Amino acid sequence: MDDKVNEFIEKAEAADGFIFGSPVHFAGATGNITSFLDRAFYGRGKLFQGKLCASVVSCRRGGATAAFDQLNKYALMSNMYIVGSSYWNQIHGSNKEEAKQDLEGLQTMRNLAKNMAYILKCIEAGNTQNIQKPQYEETIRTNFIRKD
Amino acid sequence: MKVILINGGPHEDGCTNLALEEIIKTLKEENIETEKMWLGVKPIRRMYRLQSLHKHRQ
Repeated sequence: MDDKVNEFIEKAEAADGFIFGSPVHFAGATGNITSFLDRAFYGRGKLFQGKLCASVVSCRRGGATAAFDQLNKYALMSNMYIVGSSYWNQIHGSNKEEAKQDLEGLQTMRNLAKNMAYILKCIEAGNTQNIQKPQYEETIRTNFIRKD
Repeated sequence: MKVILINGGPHEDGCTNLALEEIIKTLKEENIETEKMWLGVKPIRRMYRLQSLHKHRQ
């Protein structure tokens, strides 16, 4: 499959942080970004571990936090660090001109970026001070349904 | 230090992009490198666990 997933995987190696942005469709992220992240994250925990992540959603009225939760779930089971802001990262408006009037939403984005920049710098400082990265155990996989 | 930003919306320059641009502006002020990727409007194939599907069909 030659699509954006492959392009992203190649670039992700050199990246230290990620922001996943999506409009809200029926209180979820778009089908496209869902397929994109499903494929990007599947079996690739090591590519993302120890890196920063945040999600951003845009909508007219509702469903923002449900979509926001959905997008955060990829990072939360990949040993990533989710960066927060002064509110959940959402911006409201039917179109770009309306969204520009969401001053709190825009401020939330700026605060998110400030927090992400700060933690990136902290991690870099930690590396120069030889702070050891988390050493993980071998993964245990237990299912809930057993035949025996 | 680099941050990749993904726009999963159907509009390259819509509301989601506005939010991402606000983040990019601040990250640049903090000397963080950024790269934005718009996923576009072409369909992206869903995840397909071929092996697992075969198992269930047995």
